[in-house]
Amino acid sequence: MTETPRGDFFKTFRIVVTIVFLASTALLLYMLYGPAMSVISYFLRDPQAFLVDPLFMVLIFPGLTYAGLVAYLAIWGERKFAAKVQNRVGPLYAGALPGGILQNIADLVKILFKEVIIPRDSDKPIFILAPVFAFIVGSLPVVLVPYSPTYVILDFPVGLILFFVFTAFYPLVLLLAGWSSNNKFSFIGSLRALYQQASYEIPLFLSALAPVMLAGSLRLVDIGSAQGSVWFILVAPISAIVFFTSILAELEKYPFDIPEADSELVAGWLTEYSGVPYLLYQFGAYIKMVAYASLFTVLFLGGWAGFAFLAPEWWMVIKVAIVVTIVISTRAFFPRIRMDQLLSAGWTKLIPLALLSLASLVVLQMLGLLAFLR
Amino acid sequence: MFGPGQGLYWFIVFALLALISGLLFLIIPFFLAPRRRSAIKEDTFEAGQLPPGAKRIRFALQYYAYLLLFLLFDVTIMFLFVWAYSFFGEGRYGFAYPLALIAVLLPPLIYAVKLSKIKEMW
Repeated sequence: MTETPRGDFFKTFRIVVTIVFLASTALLLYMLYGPAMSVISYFLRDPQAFLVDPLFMVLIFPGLTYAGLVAYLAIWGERKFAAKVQNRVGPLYAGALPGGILQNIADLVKILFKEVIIPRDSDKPIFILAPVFAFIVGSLPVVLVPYSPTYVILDFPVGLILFFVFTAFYPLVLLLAGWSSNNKFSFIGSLRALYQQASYEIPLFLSALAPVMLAGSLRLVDIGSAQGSVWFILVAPISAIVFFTSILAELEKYPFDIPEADSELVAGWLTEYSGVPYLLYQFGAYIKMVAYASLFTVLFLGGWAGFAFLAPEWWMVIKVAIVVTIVISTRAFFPRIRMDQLLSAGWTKLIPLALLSLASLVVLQMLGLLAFLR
Repeated sequence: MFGPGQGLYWFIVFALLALISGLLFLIIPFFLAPRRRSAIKEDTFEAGQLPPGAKRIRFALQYYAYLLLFLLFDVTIMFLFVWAYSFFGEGRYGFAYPLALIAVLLPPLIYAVKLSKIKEMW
């Protein structure tokens, strides 16, 4: 192996990162200055109006605070639930009543004080920046998913496709992480992740076609609003099942957690990561899970449709909580499957099932049974 | 005009927030965490062993056929999205176009799945 002079390069890299950090902070402050001023000017007169302000949406409700909070509860719930099923106790001491609910904060504090080990032979700039990319790419889809017609940050006309564009970047980031770690476990793990996420994108897209057909739109707000009378899971149940299975594979959740199989590959593409970079990966992955769960809710579970005694956003929150619970409960119930089983199941079973569901919709439309949706 | 009334503005704000919080988390351990370097700690992890041989080995992509399939399908699905967009507006026989598309795709799918089962090709 030839040694490359890294010292100078690393210095330049640190300067570039500092400049990027300061410049983006300045840009953010500049962009937030006007909206914050207007919020301050009307807040005392009309506090209710702040609840539908875009600033509130980005910072709190469908944005960072809400997604982070659901991710936090999901991590705690996953640990506690798996422990209960496996006849263990799980998190117990930190936090009083629902046992150990503060455990994640304790872990966060612990991780912040952990040494960050950077392997000598790694490609250091990419190795350090890959977790940040993963965090950004994992949290960007949250912007697109509406929680009600008012609570949507970016109401994009082809929002569904833009969602898939963001999530399609994720395996690329994992490949960067695996290659820059310069470790055999990492590289094999990232290759597996690439295979899995690339393969299961196809059934994911094909099953997402069913709501697009039924709603006649690619805008997520329209797809959600089209389900006021009938949820699309009742019209296209096979598509919903295929979509949910593909979500599990995209999120590397339990029957499909092959890239991180800890008994075979140490931690897969996370092997060389420690401390805060590891935290960024995990947090980004869980925020991505929140985004996928809310997309599933909007596409198949009626979105914000519900009874009138609660506001539509609350119905959406409840449904997302239920979907997240189902996603994390797979950890306790399913064993891990093999790589070739995963791939052949995706290509030979899920894709034909998704196509079959589309065909059934075409037949229903020809018989004139879908007229009630128009 | 590009301003706070648009979703794209808030999308950029969100992306900047994610970037800044990610970089901030990376900077924190510089102040809090210890950094005691040693040769064995910074070596490549290999389950307790000293790593033998070259680290960046080249090896065969085992499930090559599936990646070829991915290229085939990923492009085509975008056309299906365009069709699904106007599903109700196409009249009685609008379903025929995607059917032709899927009929073209099926033989390579079957062939590649067969190919991927041959262990000698790995």
